[in-house]
Amino acid sequence: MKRLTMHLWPVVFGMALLAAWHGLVIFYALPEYILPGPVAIAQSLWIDGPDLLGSLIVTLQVTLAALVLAAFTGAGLAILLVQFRVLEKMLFPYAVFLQVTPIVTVAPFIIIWVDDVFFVLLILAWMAAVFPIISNTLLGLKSVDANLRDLFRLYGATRSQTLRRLLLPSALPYFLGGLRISGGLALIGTVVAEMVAGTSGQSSGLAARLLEASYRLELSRALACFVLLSVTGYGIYLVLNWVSHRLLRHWHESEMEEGH
Amino acid sequence: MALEPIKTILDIKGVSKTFESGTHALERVTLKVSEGSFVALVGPSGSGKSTLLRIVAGLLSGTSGSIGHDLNDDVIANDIGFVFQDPTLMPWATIAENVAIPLRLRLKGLGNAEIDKRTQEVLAWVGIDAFKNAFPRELSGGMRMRASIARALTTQPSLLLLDEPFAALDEFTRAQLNEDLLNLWEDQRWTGIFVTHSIREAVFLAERVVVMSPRPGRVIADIEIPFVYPRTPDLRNDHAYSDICADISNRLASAITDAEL
Ligand SMILES: Nc1ncnc2c1ncn2[C@@H]1O[C@H](COP(=O)(O)OP(=O)(O)OP(=O)(O)O)[C@@H](O)[C@H]1O
Ligand SMILES: [Mg+2]
Repeated sequence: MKRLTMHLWPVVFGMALLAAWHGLVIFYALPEYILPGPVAIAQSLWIDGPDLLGSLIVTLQVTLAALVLAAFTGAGLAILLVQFRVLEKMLFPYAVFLQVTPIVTVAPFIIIWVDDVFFVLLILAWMAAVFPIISNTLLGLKSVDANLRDLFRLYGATRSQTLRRLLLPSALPYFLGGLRISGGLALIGTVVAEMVAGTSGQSSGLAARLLEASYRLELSRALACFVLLSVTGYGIYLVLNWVSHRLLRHWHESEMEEGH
Repeated sequence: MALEPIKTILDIKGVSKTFESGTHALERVTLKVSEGSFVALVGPSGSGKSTLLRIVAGLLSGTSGSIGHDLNDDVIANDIGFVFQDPTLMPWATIAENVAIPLRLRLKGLGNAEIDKRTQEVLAWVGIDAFKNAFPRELSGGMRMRASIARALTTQPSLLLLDEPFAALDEFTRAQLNEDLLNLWEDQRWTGIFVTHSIREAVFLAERVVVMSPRPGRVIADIEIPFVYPRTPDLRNDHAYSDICADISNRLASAITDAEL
């Protein structure tokens, strides 16, 4: 019972916010091109929904592809760097560059060099998403229990045995933590890339559609795109949380059920 | 009874160790351990007991001196089991998988069926077969320590090194594990080197108690404990037992005072 009310609080808050918004729009009689109310947005979602869904799928494809790519390349790179410390010294600063460079500034070059829009978006989204995975996985690979390391040495474990049976499982919670951050970043990267790449029409992604609608002052439609993107981001977050929980629930503190 | 010459399984000759940090941990430690014996090692904190065990296990090398093993020379690690102060179990693996890990790492040819059989057997020795599918988090500290001991025994080593294995346990669990460990030793007769801070524990378990000085650690006393096995909990109330404990305690105390002067 207490649990249920706990879950109700965010809903109550959201409802209050929507009601206030609705009231504001009615009270000041705001036109659609300034601020549409929640009802207009809901209508737009209902009417344009099927049309926008196609664009959502385009955006989602890029986001997920970038995330999967970031997961593999990020984890792979971290494993490589931890095996050869020289490599870490050599390459890690550049990984930091990847992180701190705003991808908007790289986008124009990528657009010139790469023809296919899908790959332009993929590269940019990957750039936005990969760093947390590299740095978290690297941290995890280095946080192995010293006694367990000794144990593996005592029994003459080979490099690959140590990697598979000790380093990777130790790093898994860290990797998943990185993945959860990167899920959001991959979507942000895709959205920014779409806006910069400036495609339009039905085959383009949701962020491009948002921009297009806002240029035409169709704010209900633009906000409908916004809502869909936010919900998608939250959905990605929930899915990754669930995956993390499934993988760690038996053994990691972060995923132990309360009362254990 | 025919007098067989007692075989020396471990011959530590003048082992010194100075760490790169400059810490002088061990100073010419010499110790002979005969096959099948149970030796306890006591000494103040920082006297290099753990360092000595790690050198014996080959996890660390001494700065000078030598370690002579009479172990299965082929694969020394098969023949040494190490029990750490913490259970040091892999939290992501079940108890059975944890206990099987030495076999998987060491004896790569072994099939799953054989590994299961051996694991099962070792788990039964330490009385935790009922928990084989549990994860370490689900077990009490004492049970986890049993799993850790089981793991060290899976390769059926000739030499078992234990570094303050029961230090973190409550008094009752500790006494119980002492007795169970002794029973295992009497059955299997591996050679045991048991590091502890508890003089009473050392005297209860061992045939011989070796006392180390404060840093740099040297051997300052080597005392035979005369009580016959099997030893029962009653021994803890015995006067002779208390006298030996007091004697060792005094030697240790005076070594510490000397070092402080
Ligand atoms: N890897 C290391 N590098 C530098 N110094 C070390 C290292 N390991 C141990 N030492 C130092 O060597 C000394 C002996 O340490 P050791 O752990 O062997 O003592 P100990 O007798 O086991 O102590 P305790 O009873 O507290 O476990 C200590 O001063 C310790 O700080
Ligand atoms: Mg120690």
